[in-house]
Amino acid sequence: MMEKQRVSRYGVRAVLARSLVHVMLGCALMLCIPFGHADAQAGGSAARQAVAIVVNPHTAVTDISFAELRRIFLGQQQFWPDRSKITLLVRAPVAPERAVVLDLIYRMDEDQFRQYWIGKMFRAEVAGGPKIVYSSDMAINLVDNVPGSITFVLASAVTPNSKVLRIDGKLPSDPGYPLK
Amino acid sequence: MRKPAWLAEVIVQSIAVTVSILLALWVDQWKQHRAARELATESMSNFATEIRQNEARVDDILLYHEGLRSILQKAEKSHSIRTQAEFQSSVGIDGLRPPFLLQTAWQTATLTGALTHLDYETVRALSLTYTLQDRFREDSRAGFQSMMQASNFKPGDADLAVRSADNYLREVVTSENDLHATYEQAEQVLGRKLKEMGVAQKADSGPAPSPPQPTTGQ
Repeated sequence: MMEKQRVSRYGVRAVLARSLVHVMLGCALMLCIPFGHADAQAGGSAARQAVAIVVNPHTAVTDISFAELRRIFLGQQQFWPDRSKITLLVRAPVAPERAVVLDLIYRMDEDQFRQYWIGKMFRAEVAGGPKIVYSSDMAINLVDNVPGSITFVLASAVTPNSKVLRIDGKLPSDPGYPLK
Repeated sequence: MRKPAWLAEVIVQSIAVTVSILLALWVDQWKQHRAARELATESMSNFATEIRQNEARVDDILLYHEGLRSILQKAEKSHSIRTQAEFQSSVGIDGLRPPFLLQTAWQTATLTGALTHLDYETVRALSLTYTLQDRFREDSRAGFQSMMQASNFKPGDADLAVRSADNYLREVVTSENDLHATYEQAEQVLGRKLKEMGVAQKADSGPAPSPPQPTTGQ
């Protein structure tokens, strides 16, 4: 009888111990997931490609400061120095280069970006929001065909005929390029 | 024979009452005239602002539509667009939409009766402008729906869709140019009338060209 009780108590303890081990493993796993995610994010940004700023070939500008680039993309500067109209072409959501531009130039998320342009339109500060393009090819083709237009594409998507702007004197391949 | 004093008093009182009534009527009429003039001025300023904004919106999208047309024409020649997905990726669909044009000034003037206080030439110019704007919107909507018909996309062949989009954009670009010219005419009429009324046009009405910013290393 005593022996049976001892065995049963031992069995309960074993089950409890196993459960405890499982709970601890579960907790450890749960704690690991955010670290793993953060690592993945860090890896993503490390692997983030440079984004090239491309303008219409007839635009007289070849080099602009990052501050001026921000003013253009924020719609605060709507004309080039030669008074020609700036047409802003922006990739549709989900494109990686859009994420880079929203992060580094606009410093906004998608919702803030949308609200920003609605607000500008509402206050009649701009005639229209950025024009949406759906692929790098479309961006490159349009920027070639629309006078005064400016867009952004991944540096790898730039074609030999594209006019890439230097930002603070740097091209996408240069170290210290601000859109990486 | 002397007239009784009361008769003189009655005559004087009557004249005074009549004059005061006439004066009150004149003041009332003057106030009404002033209110109507203010309403007309306010309305004309609103029209001038709105037309300038609409013109800026048309100008803003006109170059973009012309650029899209160039892409479509090249694609039509090279037959490079074969599916609906390729069409979306090369040309997009939202970009083909016409600009959103305001007509709140016209609606407000109609509702408040401000149009009755404007002269014939101004109302005629405004009516023509907003009629053309309405027609542009209706035509564009119909053209857009016709262009996006599923039957334009056959398996492995989107030539019909590309041609249809090119035709649609040709119409849109032509209409946008017409609208631009109409807006300019309307602005001239409004500017002249506002000048005649001694009203300086608002400087902050609509997106105006900003002065050139210094650009480094050109």
